[in-house]
Amino acid sequence: MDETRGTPVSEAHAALAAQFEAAFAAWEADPRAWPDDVFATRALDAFRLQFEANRPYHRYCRAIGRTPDDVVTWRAIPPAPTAAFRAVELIVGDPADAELRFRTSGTTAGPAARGTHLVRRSETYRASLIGPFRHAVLDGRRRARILVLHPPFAPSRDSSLAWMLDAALEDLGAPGSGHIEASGREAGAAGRMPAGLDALEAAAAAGEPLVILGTTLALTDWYEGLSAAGVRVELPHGSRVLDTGGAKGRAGLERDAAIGALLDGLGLPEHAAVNEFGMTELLSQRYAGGLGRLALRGPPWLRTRVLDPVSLEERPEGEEGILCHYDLANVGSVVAVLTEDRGRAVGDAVEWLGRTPGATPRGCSLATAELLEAQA
Amino acid sequence: MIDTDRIPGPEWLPGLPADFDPENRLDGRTVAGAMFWVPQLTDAEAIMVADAVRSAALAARRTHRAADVVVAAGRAAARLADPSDPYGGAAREALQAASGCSRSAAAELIERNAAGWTGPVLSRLVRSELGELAVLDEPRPDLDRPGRRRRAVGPPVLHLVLAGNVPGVAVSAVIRALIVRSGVLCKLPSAEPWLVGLFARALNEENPALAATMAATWWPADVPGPIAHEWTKRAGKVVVYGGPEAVRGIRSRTPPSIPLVEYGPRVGAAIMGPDSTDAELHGLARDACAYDQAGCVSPRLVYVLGMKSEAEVRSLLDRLVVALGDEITRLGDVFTSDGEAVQIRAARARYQFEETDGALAFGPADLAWTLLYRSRPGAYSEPLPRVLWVYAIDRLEELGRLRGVLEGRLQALGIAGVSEADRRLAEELAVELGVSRVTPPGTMAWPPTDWRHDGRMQLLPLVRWTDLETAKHD
Repeated sequence: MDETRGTPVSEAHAALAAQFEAAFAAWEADPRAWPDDVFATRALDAFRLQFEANRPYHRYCRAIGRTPDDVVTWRAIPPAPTAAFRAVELIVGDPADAELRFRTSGTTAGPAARGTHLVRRSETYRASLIGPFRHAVLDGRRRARILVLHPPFAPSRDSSLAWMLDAALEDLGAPGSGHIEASGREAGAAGRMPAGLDALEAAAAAGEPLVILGTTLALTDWYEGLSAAGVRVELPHGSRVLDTGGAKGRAGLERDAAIGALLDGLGLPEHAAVNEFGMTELLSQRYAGGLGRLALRGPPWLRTRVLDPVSLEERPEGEEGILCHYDLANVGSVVAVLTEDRGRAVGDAVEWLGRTPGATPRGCSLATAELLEAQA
Repeated sequence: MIDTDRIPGPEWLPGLPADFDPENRLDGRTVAGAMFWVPQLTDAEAIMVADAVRSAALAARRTHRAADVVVAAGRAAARLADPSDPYGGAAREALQAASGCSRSAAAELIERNAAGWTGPVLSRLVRSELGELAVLDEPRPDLDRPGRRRRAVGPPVLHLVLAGNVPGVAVSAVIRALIVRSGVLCKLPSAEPWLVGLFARALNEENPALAATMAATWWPADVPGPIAHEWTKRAGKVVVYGGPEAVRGIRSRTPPSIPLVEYGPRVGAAIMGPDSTDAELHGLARDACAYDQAGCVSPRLVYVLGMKSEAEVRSLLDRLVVALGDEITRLGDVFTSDGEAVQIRAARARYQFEETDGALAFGPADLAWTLLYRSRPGAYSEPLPRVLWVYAIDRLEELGRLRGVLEGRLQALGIAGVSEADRRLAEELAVELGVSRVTPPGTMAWPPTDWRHDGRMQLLPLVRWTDLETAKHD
């Protein structure tokens, strides 16, 4: 698969990716929904490229009898189940050409079965990220003070979240921005001042809004540290707390309570909370403001269908199903991704309802997988 | 939805006052999502039921012989098998709602099981394991030992923790417990909670004194509550059927002083040689689709043995694909839960995206069946409905190398289309691996009543023996 219709893969991908990046940038200047035919044309262009040049995806499409000849609507693009990211390297062209290599956390299938998302061109990820982030989190401001409660990206840590937060910091961070790594919980327990306190105080003193980014767990732990240290800072109007990941990895954690407490502690109203929904397998994100039920909205190059888990037919608005995303920022891998997440469509937004519970084995039949793992 | 006018609640709880009106009810959900409700018993009520069952069982030992139990149980069970009987109609409807299968598949499930519930078949089971039926009533001469008589009987109360994966099998377990003259306290399976209660009601019409020797209800496995504790404490023996979670849970809460008989999870496999006929492949498909492949006898692993070329493999797979499609057409509706759908798609994806080991995946978009093939030996499988994990092996010795995974875990082994020499080798391997039944494809999913489940007898583990010696013997 060195060529796609006579054009080398790298050139074909670069041309399409550049076209998409320009469209993403244009949206930031004029943030309106895309007409269906615009999205469809771009999605089908990406599908054709991926069918031709993404070897495992090509094999999959062939196996299920789908080719560009019979895929004529964007809804008909065969989605790659997230399990495919755990089995193969999905990239247009040669995996060696990937600029970035992200690994999933293994929340669904365990650490032994982490998925990989190869990103052929980091610029596409950046272009997809910045406009919607500025729109959803910075209220359109060019830059803001940003405090990231997450370790910086390192190839060895292969976290797409870390890369995303770094990119936001680089492109949108005003002077006074930075990372903090120390766990607030540990600092509080050790009787030390939690990291980041100086950034809070500096923002308050300068009267400049501060945007705090982190996983729901990290923000929760950090606030526990601040709270234990008796810190109370009133952040300026316009400050935001962006959390992502929800209660993943910690049973009993409730986002509303955890983020609500943090907002209270920083003197911020409920609408200062922003939740980000992203996946390693996608390069675009959705955002929702506030607490409670979250209506997640994304840019026009990210569309999501809610499907019946068995038939994969589209569920009517408001009904639960599994989420299938079509993300044009994934032009270098697969645009259509079938997840194991449950959700429902609410107008032009999506409500995320958690993972589909695993199949409970019926009766006394045995999974030999367990035996093989036990033997390993 | 279940029509509660035609199908009573799953519970059968003798010994409670006539005006019993529970304060609360527990709600459960079957595999296919049908709701059911049972009364939530207080400690005192749970004890009342257990004591009533024990008293009735001890009384029935004086008033009934084992042959009477066989006859009454056989008649009650026959009513479940009869579609024109109200209990037979209700059984079909309940099974359909519980498992999401078609009406005809529900009928087939009940009728196939009922073949093992007749008086003659039950009598044969007793003879094969205990020698004669009357040994459950009175001491019987031991023909090998002059001067010695023997008596066998179950404990006054058996606590059965039933599995609903193979509809009807729970009724078989209850019948066996009644035959050994025990009172029976059943924990019903949520997968299919109704058949045992329908059997109890039919038995009540045939012989109320015997129906009073059994009780059945349901509680959530993860919240066993006081009833589970009281019923376990009062049992002379606990018998558990089910998956690893169920077995582990019961093991952890059964006091060491109470014997526990476990029938845990296993898996079925088939060895299909190059001479496998279409009939044998259809038989394999039928076994794999029966009760959604949820039984330990259901073939899940398939080894295609000694194929000479990839084309030969492909030809066999193509014929198996046709057989699976035909079987689904024959069955009508099949049910796949949301979680199962996600996992089947994930399994298919691994085979559809990977190029290694000649991976191939077959199956319709509606997930009615799935065939996953690799051109090398393997033993990986997941307990998903109507999914066959097929591996190629050149020689049976390759299967022997998987001994560490398969030994003691294979329940049934189907063999077809192999040479006589390979058949003998495969049978020998089955014995070494602890397979409990080797049989042609097409009969794997329906073991006979006197099959040695998990390689053990079915009545013998339930009874205690007393030898009565009146003369010196050598």
